[in-house]
Amino acid sequence: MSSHLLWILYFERVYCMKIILLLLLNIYFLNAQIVIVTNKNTKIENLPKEIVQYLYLAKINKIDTIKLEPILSDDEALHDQFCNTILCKSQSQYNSYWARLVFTGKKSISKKLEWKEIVKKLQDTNTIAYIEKKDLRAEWKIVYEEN
Amino acid sequence: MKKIKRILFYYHSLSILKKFLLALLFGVILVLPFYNFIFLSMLEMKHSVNSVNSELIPLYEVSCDNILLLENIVSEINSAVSSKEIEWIETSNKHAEKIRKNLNNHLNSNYAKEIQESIIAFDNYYETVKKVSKKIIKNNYFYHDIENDTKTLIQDYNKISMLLKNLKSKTKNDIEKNIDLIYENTNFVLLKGSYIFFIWFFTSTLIIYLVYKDIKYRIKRIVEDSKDIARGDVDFEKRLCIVSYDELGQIVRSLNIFINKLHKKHEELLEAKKELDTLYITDRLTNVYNRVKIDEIIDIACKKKETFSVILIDIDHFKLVNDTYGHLVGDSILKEFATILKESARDTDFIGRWGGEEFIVVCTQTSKEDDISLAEHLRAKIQDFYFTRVGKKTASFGVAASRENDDAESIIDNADKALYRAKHSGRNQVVCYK
Repeated sequence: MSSHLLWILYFERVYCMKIILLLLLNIYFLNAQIVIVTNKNTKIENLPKEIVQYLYLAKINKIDTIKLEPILSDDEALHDQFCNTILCKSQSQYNSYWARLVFTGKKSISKKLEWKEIVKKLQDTNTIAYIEKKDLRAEWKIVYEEN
Repeated sequence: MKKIKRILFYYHSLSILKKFLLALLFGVILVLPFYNFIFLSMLEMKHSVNSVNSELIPLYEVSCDNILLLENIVSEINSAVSSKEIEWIETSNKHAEKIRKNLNNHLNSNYAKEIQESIIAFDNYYETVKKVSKKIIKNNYFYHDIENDTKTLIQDYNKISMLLKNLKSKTKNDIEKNIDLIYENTNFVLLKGSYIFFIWFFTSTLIIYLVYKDIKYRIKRIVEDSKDIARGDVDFEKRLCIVSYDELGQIVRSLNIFINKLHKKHEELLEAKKELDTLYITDRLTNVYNRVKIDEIIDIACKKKETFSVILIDIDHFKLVNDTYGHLVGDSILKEFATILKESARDTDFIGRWGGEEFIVVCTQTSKEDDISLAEHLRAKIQDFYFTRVGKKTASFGVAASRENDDAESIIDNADKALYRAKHSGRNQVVCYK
């Protein structure tokens, strides 16, 4: 009786651990690594996180006289993750922030682009975009990478 | 030239008080253009103050209010979008209404064009903002045209914001301009006020001084003319010149009337004096000089050391005539006798009655021989004359010529002595004193 009970207990523990492990794995895969990329020919090498934040929050639009155009992705999950990890803002905070910029007449909300459009846009120099690291292409270079 | 004369005539015809009042009048006339400037400045100032009070200040307040209201709208809509509450968007309507009302209230002001533009821009903006915010909420910040929509919105917002701010700054500038204008005008008025005072003061003083100089000159002329008339022997032919027609002119006229009267009186007095003088030196019966005049003539001649002769004449047996025919006949003989003497004497001879029936002739500027022959001539004439009622009469003559150191008394005495001898030598003859 007791050994049976023990078995059950053991089995449940293992199962639970498996579920937790699976969940963790899942999260790991969902939170794919985000990188900020630009065209290889852009004269920017590395950007600190703050500068990336400033660029995406429209606080600045150029670095050392090089004008940079931030590109948004229409991938909800990626965008959400980008907001959370790089801009350190929740999606609603990000939206409120941009709403404020719009209504006080400072900056318009940029269009969110499909993958194809992003690729096309990145053919131009002086554009930056956030992508999953796995989607990195040879003609691009990483200017910022979240560790 | 004629005009100047007329002006001068007009000036001279004014009374002294009016002449001095001229100073004030000219001061006022010169001041009038400046006063005109001041009046215009005051009008401008009044206009500025009115404009600031009635139009600019309310408009400025409204402009500030509008800017705040726009911010309110932005904040309302912003919070609606942030909270994704479509209903909240409508709460901004009251602010929008207020802005429209504010703008429409001042549609008739000088800023009608700007206000009209603002109204259109605001309506445009408000429509866009409502539309875009609703779209954003509905699509959860993600739809295809978001970029264009927000761009239009930003443009519209910036436009209305700029228009409202412009209106504010414009009204503010205009208020400042008006206040500056008031300040400038006040300065101008103060400056012109000082000018007015100084010009009035100097003109008045100058003209008063000129009038004073003129009056002084004319008084001087009156005084000099008076002195001229009174200098030495009073010249009653002269009159004071009438220098003007004011009080001084009246004084001159009065003085002239006075001088006229004096002149008349003076002439009367002269006449009277002449008469008196004649009476004083004339023998009333025979109308020849009396002793007073003869004495004077002899004295003068003696003093001048002239050579002259005295002929004393006595009518022979005159007492007899008086006794026989009476004094009236005696008097008539004396008259006739004097007439003969006068008719026969020369211009340089003075004939006088020496007393009773004695006559005297003083011969000046003639020689002794001439005088003796004159005496002889007279004697002959008397001898030939037929006197009224009495008939023929004769006279005795004593002649004495002046010598050095002779005085009146001695020469008369000499003549008397000669006459005496003539009487004693048988009368009707001329005896010269030797």
